[in-house]
Amino acid sequence: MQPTQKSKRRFVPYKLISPAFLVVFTLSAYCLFWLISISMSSWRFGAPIESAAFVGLGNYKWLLFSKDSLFWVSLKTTTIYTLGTVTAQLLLGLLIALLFNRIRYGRALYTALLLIPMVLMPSMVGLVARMYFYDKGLVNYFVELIAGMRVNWASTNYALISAMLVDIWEYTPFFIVILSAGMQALPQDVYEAARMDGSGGAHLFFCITLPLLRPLIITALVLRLMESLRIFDVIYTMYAGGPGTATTTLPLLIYRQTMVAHNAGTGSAISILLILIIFVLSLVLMFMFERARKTLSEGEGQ
Amino acid sequence: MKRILSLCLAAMLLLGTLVGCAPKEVAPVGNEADISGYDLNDFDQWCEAMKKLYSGSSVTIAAASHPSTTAFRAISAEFTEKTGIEIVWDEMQEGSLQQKLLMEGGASAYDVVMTCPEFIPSQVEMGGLLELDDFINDKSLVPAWFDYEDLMEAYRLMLTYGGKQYAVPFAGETVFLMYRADVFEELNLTVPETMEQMRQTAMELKQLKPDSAGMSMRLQLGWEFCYMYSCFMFPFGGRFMDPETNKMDMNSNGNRDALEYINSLLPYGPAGIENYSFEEAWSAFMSGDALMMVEASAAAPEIENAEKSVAAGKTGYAKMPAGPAGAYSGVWGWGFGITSSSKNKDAAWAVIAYLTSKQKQNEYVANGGIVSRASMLMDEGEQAKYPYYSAIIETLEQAAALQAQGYGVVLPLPEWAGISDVVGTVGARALVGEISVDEALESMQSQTESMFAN
Repeated sequence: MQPTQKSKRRFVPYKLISPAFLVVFTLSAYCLFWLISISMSSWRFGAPIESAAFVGLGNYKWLLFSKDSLFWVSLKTTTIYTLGTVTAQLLLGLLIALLFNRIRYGRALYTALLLIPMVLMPSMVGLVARMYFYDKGLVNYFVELIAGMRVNWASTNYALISAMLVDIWEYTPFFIVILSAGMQALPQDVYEAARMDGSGGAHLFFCITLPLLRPLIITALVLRLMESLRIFDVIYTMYAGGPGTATTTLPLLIYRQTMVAHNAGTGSAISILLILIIFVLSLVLMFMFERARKTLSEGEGQ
Repeated sequence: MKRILSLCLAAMLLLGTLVGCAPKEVAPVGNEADISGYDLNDFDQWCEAMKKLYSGSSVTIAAASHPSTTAFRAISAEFTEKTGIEIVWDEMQEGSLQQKLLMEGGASAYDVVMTCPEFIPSQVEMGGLLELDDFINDKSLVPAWFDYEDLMEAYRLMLTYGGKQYAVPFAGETVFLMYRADVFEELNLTVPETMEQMRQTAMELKQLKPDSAGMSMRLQLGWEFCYMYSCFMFPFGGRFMDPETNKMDMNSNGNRDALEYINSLLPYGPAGIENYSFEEAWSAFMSGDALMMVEASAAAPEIENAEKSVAAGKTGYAKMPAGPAGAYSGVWGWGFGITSSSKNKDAAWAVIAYLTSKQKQNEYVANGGIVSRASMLMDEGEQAKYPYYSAIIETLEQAAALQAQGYGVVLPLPEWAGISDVVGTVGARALVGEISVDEALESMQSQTESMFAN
């Protein structure tokens, strides 16, 4: 009797999550199927779907190998954007979270204030930032006060940087909130033991805080990386991908190809490539997460 | 007279049955004879007649958010009051409008759609738009107070496809030169008449007034760059396509000269001009940061608005300067088309006739609408009030000269969206030096050619 009941029980969680899983999976699978089939056809958005011609991997070949394709240029821009913003956000977030943890009074108020940038609508942030970064805008006013000259933020060299600055401003609070919550949950006895052994300051941070926070940092990184790779609103409202193609990240390229140029086939092919990139990256990070968790629990076991 | 009228009416009704549409459904047969007593050339009687025929029906219009839409909405209440035809406005952003029309295809839920030169080819190919020539050629449907011929010819021509009219224009624009007349006088500069002179003047302005820029225009990647480029391309002898063979021709010396010319203006523009959308180009001129601007004539009312612009009352307007191959400019604008799936085609035509008529022109313009009729543009009193009217007429002649050769700043092809994006993206890349001008032209040619490969 008992073993069967036990094995029956083993399936309960699977049964319980199956409706949610089915809905999510079928919806995304259906869309993904369509996306893949359109990415293998030459279809002008707006023409009847019957006019789509099957071209196999032609769109992918053009994207990856044609000298007219903007895929690699765009991938480079996306990589710079994502690595730059997420690294800066993580470092700043860690630093501020450390300071944040020393605040004794009114932490809730500070947390609420910090969340404001994240609550704002990204496209509004972009529109306002566009004005701040005008030649005679607010940012240049301060730059001129300090450096004595204005920066042409809308030029090829600085457009991407200014968009990244806005992103960093908007999403650093995400890391601050998550990491400071994590720091508060850390076991205090470990610190006490380490202090008794004579370590302090930087040593405590690098040998205890950081390793213990690793799973949390990786989770936050996965979320931010995925979001950053899909960034659209801020860049689009600030620079629309220009000047030239200086701020054309992959999502902007997808939008331009599909909705502006009406090349649904090429646009879908870029989407698939972007999904693959995000998928592989998340796999790597989740693998790291699992490893970090394992080392932690092994450490606890000892 | 009566006999002629009733003949016309009979023709109209016959036509109505031929295109398989409204009168039968909205107006019972018994009503047909009823309007024969009305003089349709009389505005009030026309309204009465329409009331007899279509009262109680409703016409749904898909419109973009635009000053014209606001103006039409202001005058449409009176129309409903007079004719009993209800107008339902569905107003949305320009981009959403295009996507909606594309997705609806031939089965639109709207009766009337606001459309423009680049929408029409796709709409027609999908069977979404009704050919309007039958309406326009029917005298009883085009009464004297409507005066169709009075709509600027260049505006009417831009809304044709394959020689057929698909929309009635109500707002048009052309690209011309705006300059600060006060600064020109102060510095003793003359209004440039050639492209070379314009570059020279821009340079002098930048030298003599180092705090301001000599030239402003939209150059952001995509359609904005493409629009501006096409306005410079024809004066330099370039073109998108050979209208006789329908082969792409983007790699000629004329195209190269035009692209290089635009690039050579960059140093005289305001900081950041390489990514200017039209809004930023206009505001640079309106704030006094730029002293010359080549832009759409739609900017002129904004510039003359003293609340928004320091250039109000100080701006001169001139037609597009001539290039080595002649003086040409582009034309672009909005019109009303009737969907082929509409169940109220005749009532829809009545709405269009009323809103875009000469009779309502003054009211429409007073509410913020954009002038599109010769009678108003050429009226001396109006010209004294609006200093840019005469420049618009002259530039529209330049645009009509271009149309007469089979060219336009928009290619009437369903593939235009793709072509415009390629030209506008690759051109903008050359502008900031990501690629060379020659590479850009080659890329434009090969990419657009491949669109027609299959």
